[in-house]
Amino acid sequence: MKKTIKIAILGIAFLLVSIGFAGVLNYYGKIVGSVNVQGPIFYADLGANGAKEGRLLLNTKPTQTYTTTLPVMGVSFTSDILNTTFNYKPKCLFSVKVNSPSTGEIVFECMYLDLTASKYISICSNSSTFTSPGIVTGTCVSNLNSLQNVYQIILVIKPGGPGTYIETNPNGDTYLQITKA
Amino acid sequence: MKKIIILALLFATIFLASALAQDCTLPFKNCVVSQNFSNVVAGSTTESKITFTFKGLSWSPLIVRVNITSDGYEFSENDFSLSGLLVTQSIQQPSITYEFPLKCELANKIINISEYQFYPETGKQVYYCYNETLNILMPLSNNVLTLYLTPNIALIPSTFTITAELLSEVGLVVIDPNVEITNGKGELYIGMHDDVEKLEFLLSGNQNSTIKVTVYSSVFIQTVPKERPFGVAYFDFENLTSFSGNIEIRYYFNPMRLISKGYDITDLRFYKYEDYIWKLVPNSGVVIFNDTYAYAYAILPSLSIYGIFTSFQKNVQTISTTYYLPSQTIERTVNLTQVINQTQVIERPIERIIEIRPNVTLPVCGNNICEVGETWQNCPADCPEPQLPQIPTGYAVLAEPGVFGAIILISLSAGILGAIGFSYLAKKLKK
Repeated sequence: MKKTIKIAILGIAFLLVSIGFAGVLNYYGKIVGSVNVQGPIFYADLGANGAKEGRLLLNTKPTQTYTTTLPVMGVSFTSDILNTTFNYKPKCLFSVKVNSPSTGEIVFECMYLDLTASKYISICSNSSTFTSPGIVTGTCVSNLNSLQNVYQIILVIKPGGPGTYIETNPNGDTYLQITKA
Repeated sequence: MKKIIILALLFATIFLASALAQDCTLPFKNCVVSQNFSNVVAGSTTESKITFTFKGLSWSPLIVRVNITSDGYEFSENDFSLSGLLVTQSIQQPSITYEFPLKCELANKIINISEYQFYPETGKQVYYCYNETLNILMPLSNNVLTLYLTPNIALIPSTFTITAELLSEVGLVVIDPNVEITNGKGELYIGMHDDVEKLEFLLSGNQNSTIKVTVYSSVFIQTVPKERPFGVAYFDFENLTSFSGNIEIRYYFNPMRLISKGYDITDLRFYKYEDYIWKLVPNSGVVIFNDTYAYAYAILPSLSIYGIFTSFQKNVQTISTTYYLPSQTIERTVNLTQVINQTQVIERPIERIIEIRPNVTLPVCGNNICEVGETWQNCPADCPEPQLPQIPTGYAVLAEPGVFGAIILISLSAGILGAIGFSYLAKKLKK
């Protein structure tokens, strides 16, 4: 009889634990995942062979391949209207597909248009040398702690010497990425 | 004896571990992430697909609570945009399929949409995804839920943990206790908006009953009554034990709180959510004692989801209303001469409050109005015979949008089985 009482107490205790646990939940199903968010990528698109200006496509690769010779003043690529503020110290990652010459230098600069201040502001710039045609990359870290009132992002690619041909293509080999420094 | 205790602990541990390991509880089953969010560049969209079976026997709401967390990250209002799509397919007739888009909004926006202001929260951001139709889960269905997540282009690059929780509530629950009605009266203190905020339940004939009350701070039902577009309170009432006759429910509140928002406190009425719209409860009104104490009431034949709505204060109005109660006649006269410019109160809103007169004016039976004091028993000409509320039993409980009810039922069953198991093992050990 004594044992039966003890068993009953255990059973009730177990029941209470079950109810207590049940009270913790307030949903039927729970699914957990994680996302690593990187800075936006602006893919360069010349739009036509020989063009001296092009567009920066946000997270979208161009549909066609175009080439051009870099003039001394360089080729500029401009994004669509963004109208936003980047509240972090930015770093620019560059990539450009160079078709010729076999050795040389490429100068990059990333800028933004502050519409409130009505001026172009340089984020940062750098240069990369190359010893064979192909994809040339580079980075630069800005002195700015944030980018305020960003209306457009601009990428300027300048040649280190004459006869520098670059390419924009559906692989997205030529791009600018803004990320956190 | 020691062996029994060890076995009991073992059973309890196994049970708790298995329960914790479940991604789903009834009426949801087989929750599986068929596609997880992938790493993404800011400005692009990543999607996750979740499949699950819904075992409920009636169309039910689906709300997805999405928590986005990142240690030390200070969230901004537009860091993410989130949306969803539910495809619900009948298990028995797979050709029957419906698609429902889900709108996702920040939790604090839903909680108080009229006074919405974003307050940055470090480490966590909560969204609720819903469809305004609410009941979007087909009974006995296979479901695919897709969530689309787009980080803002200017989002600070980081790693975020996304948790999606499947809920089946019509709103954001504040409290959901059981209220005991003893000798015809029960009370539930709410105190969410002001100190006097409470519910009172009155049953005729000193009956006893138990009512499950869910109080929502806001509901995912976006429709409002045209004539009274401002929601004041929302409830889901469910009687756990039956009662006969009507039930009177009173919602006590501080009138000044609503007046300060520009609401007309004399126009508060109960509405029942039925057939996807709010329907006015015929026997509903308001009684004002003074400028800090009043209640809205409804006399209800059955329990369901109810909301209390009102209109905006009129430019100038003088209202004189007489209320009749069964035991005594109380004339409550409220003179309102107020608010010419809707943003500027030029006089103290409530001038006079209560008068109790000895002369009794009885409700008139046969005027086609079911007045206070009249019931279907003493005046069937005016008051329709109420349907006895259904007592939820067995699986029907699981099909209802009550998470706790479902889980507790399962847990109780498991507990009882466990207890039987113990006594069986004990007998064996004794031998």
